[in-house]
Amino acid sequence: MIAPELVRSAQAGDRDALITLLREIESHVYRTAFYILNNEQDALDASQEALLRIYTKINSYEEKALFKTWVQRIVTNICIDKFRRAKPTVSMDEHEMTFTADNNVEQEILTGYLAQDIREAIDKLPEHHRTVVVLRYLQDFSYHEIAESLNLPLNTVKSYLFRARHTLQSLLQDYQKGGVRG
Amino acid sequence: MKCQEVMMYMQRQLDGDLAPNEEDELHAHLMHCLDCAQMFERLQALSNELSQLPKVTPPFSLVDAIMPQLLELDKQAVTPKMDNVVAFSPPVTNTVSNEAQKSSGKTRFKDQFSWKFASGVVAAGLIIGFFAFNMQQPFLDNADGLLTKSSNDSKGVQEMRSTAASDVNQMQGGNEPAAKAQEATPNQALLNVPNADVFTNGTPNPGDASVGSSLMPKATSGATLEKPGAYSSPPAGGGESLERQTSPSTTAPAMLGEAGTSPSKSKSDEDAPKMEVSPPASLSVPQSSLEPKSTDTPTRKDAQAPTVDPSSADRTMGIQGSFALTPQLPDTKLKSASGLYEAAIEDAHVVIRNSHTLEIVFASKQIWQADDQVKLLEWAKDDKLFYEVVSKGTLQTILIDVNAKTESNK
Repeated sequence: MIAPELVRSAQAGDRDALITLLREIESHVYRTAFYILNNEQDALDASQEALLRIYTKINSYEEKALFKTWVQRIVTNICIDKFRRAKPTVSMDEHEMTFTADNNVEQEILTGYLAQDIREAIDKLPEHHRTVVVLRYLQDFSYHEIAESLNLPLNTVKSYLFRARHTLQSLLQDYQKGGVRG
Repeated sequence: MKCQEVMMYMQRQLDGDLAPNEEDELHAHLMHCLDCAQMFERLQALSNELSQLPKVTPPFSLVDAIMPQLLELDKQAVTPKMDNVVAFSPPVTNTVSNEAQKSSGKTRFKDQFSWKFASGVVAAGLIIGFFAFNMQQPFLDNADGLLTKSSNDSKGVQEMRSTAASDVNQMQGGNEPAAKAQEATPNQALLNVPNADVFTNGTPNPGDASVGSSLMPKATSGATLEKPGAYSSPPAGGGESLERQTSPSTTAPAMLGEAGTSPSKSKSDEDAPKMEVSPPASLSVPQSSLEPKSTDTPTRKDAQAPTVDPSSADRTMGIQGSFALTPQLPDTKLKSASGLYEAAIEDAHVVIRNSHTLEIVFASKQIWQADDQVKLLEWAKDDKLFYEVVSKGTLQTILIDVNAKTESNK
């Protein structure tokens, strides 16, 4: 997805290459932030902060890791920090967000009501479970790539992911049973 | 197969992590376990839904949005004077900031360089100052060393005497005072060691006072011992002037200058001939004009008032004062027998210059430490210089062959 040559020239001081690189990763960064924070504005702030950090720290990246996992580590760290700081007031905003966010109205209509429910359910997950789910399904990362991004043992990643899915399915089962959406 | 194990298999199946035989086991269990089959159905649905979550994209270009901040970051690494140049169009600012980065690198380098340079100059000054201070210090502190050294010098003085005499002959054509001086010298040479004793005993004698005033105690006191009370006699005067003449050859020119200046306050008209004699005797040409004043004043005063001790005592005390301020320095200049070369101790190593052009003919590669005592001994006839060095308690005598431009330990 990201050409290693582009990363290398960006690291060598080619500013144009670095800008190009940022443009290629910006939607990936934003997507992770959006689903972890479940808030467009917070996601914009977090992903811009992440891009700035990547811009200044590009030389700290070492090729022994995948570039995309290095990027996701930066953005998830920023999101988790933001998430913890914003936690006391977030829940209200999140609910407002849930009903006012019409950014993807068309897609929500196409995929049915579940998308909305899933986003609410994801928002109820502990932060690490949520992050693992986001990397697994929004970034299509393997267990190993998730472990590398979050600096977690592989078994921990699996454990988080399995428990998160289990929690999500029971939450969605409750939603369907309760018939909240109609 | 238990349902708990099946749960793991179901989860792994969602991620495509199951081996074919594990898949078979899973399906076999699901065939006869309704709960697990329903659970697996829900999980599959969930996983599909998660996979179909909208791939949201930012409503605007985030990179464009942070471009001002990126430029700000660039500017922070750039010299402040570039602030005005950074404009609103990104392409232009990009190039400008690149240039600015380069120039900032240069200016930073310049700053560092100038700091290094300045600190280097300061350090060099300190080292030179320390070195110069240390050169004088051992002699200041060690009066005994001064005396023993001077007695050790007696041999050198004797040798110098001949040099001085030859110089006088060459340049003055056997002037009478010069001849007297020559006559007087043997006495000095003979009396060198006793003089040192007299000096240390501190006998309240005008002779001793003049010993203090002279740079070569032995020579003066030699005259004193010869004629303790009477300074007016021509031979004594001649002796003293000679000793004055010889002393420069083995003492630092700076000392001569300083010793010469204080006595020069007193008038010295009567001994004009002696004044003329003494300069050629001195080996260092630049100092010769100062030197006669110092040498002839004592003589003149003594001649005028041989019995008046206080005046001479006062005067010599003054000289002593200056002498004390400028303690005996190592012999720093020595002219060769042919008069062609002049050896000097400069910056703790021996340098031989052409005495006319002052060009360096030979510079010793031996750089001595600040606390090493370097002393020029003598010139052999074939332009070979002997000097000795007391370094770390060991005495080395070193021979420099100017013609061959070689240096060797003896």
